[in-house]
Formats: sequence, C-alpha cells, structure tokens
Amino acid sequence: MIKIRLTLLAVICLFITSCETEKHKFPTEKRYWDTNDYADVVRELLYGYEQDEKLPTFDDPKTRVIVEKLTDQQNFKVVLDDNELGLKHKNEIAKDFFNRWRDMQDIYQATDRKDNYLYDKEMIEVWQFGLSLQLKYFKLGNDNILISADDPDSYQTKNNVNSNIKTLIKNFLIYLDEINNEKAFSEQGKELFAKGIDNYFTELIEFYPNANYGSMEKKIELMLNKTQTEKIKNSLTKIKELIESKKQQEL
Amino acid sequence: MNENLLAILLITLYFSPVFYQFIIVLKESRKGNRVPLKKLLKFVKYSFLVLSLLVVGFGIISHTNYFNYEKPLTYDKFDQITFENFRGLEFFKKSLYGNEHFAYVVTTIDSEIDKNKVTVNSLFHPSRSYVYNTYTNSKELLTHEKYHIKITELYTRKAKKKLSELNSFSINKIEGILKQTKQEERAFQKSYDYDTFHSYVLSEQKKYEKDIDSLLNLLNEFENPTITIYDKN
Repeated sequence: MIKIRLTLLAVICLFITSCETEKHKFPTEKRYWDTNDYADVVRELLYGYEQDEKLPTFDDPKTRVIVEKLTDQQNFKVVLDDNELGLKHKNEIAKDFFNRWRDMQDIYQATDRKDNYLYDKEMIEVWQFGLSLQLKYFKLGNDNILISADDPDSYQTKNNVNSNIKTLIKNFLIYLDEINNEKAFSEQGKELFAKGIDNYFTELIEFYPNANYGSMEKKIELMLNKTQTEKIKNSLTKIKELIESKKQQEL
Repeated sequence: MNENLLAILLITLYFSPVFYQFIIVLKESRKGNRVPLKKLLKFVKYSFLVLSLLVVGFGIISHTNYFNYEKPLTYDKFDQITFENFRGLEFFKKSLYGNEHFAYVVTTIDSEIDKNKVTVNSLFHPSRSYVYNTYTNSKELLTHEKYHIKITELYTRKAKKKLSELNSFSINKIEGILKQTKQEERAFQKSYDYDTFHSYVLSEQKKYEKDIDSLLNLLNEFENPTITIYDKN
C-alpha cells in the first residue's frame, strides 16, 4: 500500500515538474524578425523581466543569440533593400521598425550605483541598429515625397526633403550626446561607440554630402573638448575632416 | 488556455473511470477483495484500445483529409490549382514562425517501371496540403506554394532526362536515379523555403521563380511522363 502511494506521489511530482514552462520565450529560430516579432520581443524585454533579473547580453552564451537577433540589421534590410517591394509598403515597414526601435532604446538603459551602464555594449548596438535604420527610413521617406510630388523640383518639395535630412542629422546628434556619459561606459563600450561614429556618421555624410552639417560641426567641437577617450576623439576628428572635405568639394 | 493543459485535462477526463476504479481497488485491497483489480484491468484494457483507435484515426485524418478528399493532381492540372484545392487539415501547427496566415503543399515524385518504360509523375496532394483559409486572396502565398509544385516537376523532368540517357534498361540504375532525384528535390525545396523565407524575401522569391521557370523550359522535351529506354549496346 505504501509502495503504491509513493509511486503515485512520484508520478504526480514528475507531472508537476514537467509542466514547468520556459520563463522567457523569443523566436530565435526564426531567420528574420518582422515588426510583430519586435513588438513581442521588446515587450518581453521591457516588462517580462523582474527588476533585478539579468537581461540577455552578448557575454552570456545562453542569451547571446537573443540580443544578436534583436540587433541584427538584416531584419530590416531584407525588406527595406528589396527592390521587388513597393516604395509605400517599404515606407510603412520602415516606419514600424522605427517605432519599435524607439521602444528598444529603453531596454538596456540600466545603471549601477556608480552610474555605470550595466549593458553598455548592448545599448550601443541597439543605438547603431537605429542609426542604420534611420538612414534607410529617411531615404525611403524622401523617395516617397519625390515620387508623390507633382513637381519634384518645386521649392516646397525640396524644402520637405531638406527638412527630413535636417531631422535625420538632429537624430544622429543624439547619439553624440552619449559622450557626456562616457564615464558610464566600459573600455569595450567606448571602442564600440567610436566605431559607431566611424561607420554611421560617415555613411550619413557620404549619402548626403551637400546637407547642412553646421549643427554637427558645432556639436563635434564641443564633444572634442569634453571627451577623455582617445578613440572617440579620433572618430570625431575624422568626421569633422570629412564634413570639411565635402564642403571643399562643393566649392 | 494552454494547449498542453487542455490535452492533459481531456486525457484525465477520458481516464476518469479508470482512476475511479483504481481508488476502489485501493480501498478493497485492504479487505483482501481482488475482484475490483480484475475490473480495473478490464477498464484499462478497453480504455487504451479505444484511445489507440482514436489516435490512429486522428493520425490518418491529419495526414490525409479523407473527409474532403481529392485525388493527387498531375502537373498538367497546374494552372487550375487554387487554394480551394488545399483540403488538408492541420491540428497541431497553429502558425509558421508566429504567422497564422500560412500554407504548405505536399508534393511527391511518383514512378512506375514497366517493361522498358518508366513513367515518372510529379504529384500535388490536395488533401494533404493545407492553407489557413481556403478563400484567401493572397496571391503571393499561392505563388510561393505553387512554385513548390513546379520544383517537384522540375526534378521529375531532370530524372526523366537522366533516364533517357541510360544505355540499357537496368532496374538498379533506374531506382538509383529516382532515389537521388527525390533527395535532390527535397534539398532544393528546403533551400527555396530558406532563401525566400517562405516568400517573405520577395526579391529572392522572384529570383527563384525566374530560375525555376527557365529550367523547366529547358527541360520541356521531358514533359511527357513516360520514358522508353532502348538498349543501345
């Protein structure tokens, strides 16, 4: 009798333990994440974790795949660079991605008691995902303006396009604001941050060589005085020189 | 409700007479009464028997929907295929990578060897193919699925080409060609789904469409299902 009861108890225990489900679920096996996946994943990362629970990081082999997938730029490039897709459709998708990215920015903002970022590498990768996305989003927006306009050469149309580029530059400057917090970054973080300037700011300037970079030049000047990091200083100087060279070419 | 929980509840409900009998056995065994134990064993036997029959029936229907059966279609009916031909039932897969609007086709390469003739057909199985909504107007989804059928036809033609190049009628060689073709066809179907990510990557989808169409055209002379192998020695 006791044996039967014990067996029954063991079966029930086994049953209960096997019912335990995975705490956080992410579609990591999916080749590309679409905007719906981003909505779900970002919601999970923002609200599904307890306050002191460790978020997915690049250093953690178990969760690395999640943050790699989250910051994988192929997820939007595969749609936004697809020439078979319509411009309006791509614009809608770009807008959705942009909105998701705005939410993504809050995921890795946590700091410790010494005001150091807990997830600086992840935060910077999220930032760079956004910089790359915005280059495409604003380009698609401007293409749409030009195609929809009766006269693409009209003052109004050109004004709308230039206004968009101005906004894009302004958005890029927010990335440079992080130099004010550079003490909060690890050495690896600072290096990654500088690479972001090298890659995406260069891409921006090469793409819009004739845009007005006055505000950026001013910002770079201020940040050059402020930063204590050699790599960031070098990256800023390179961008400053690039803007200068474009101005010379224009003349 | 969690699907696993629902399944557990249904099984528990199904086996509730067995559980009830089991409790009686526990109570009666104290008194030394062995009759309920025999009854329990009978209950268990019949419960599992009925359950097995149900599982087998369920398995058959989810494999091929015999409630809404349409016989396999050969490639010459390709142009007539719409989502209305997708008659299969899907009980387990609720979505494809989170997308509930999904479909799949089942195709096979069918062959028959008779005297010096080999008949090779690509078949589309309507009652094994599934779409989330038979009346959907998603042309892109239909195109993607129909190119799976074209791929099967392409490999069927490739097999016929190889067969036509045989110098003598050899069952082993014929079977070898067919086996290899089937393996290559499955691998190509997988690459097609992977590269196009089930048509999500439209540029890749269009690239595949173009390639498959031109390859099919190149093998137009092998459209006929039957190949006659002449001894050339």
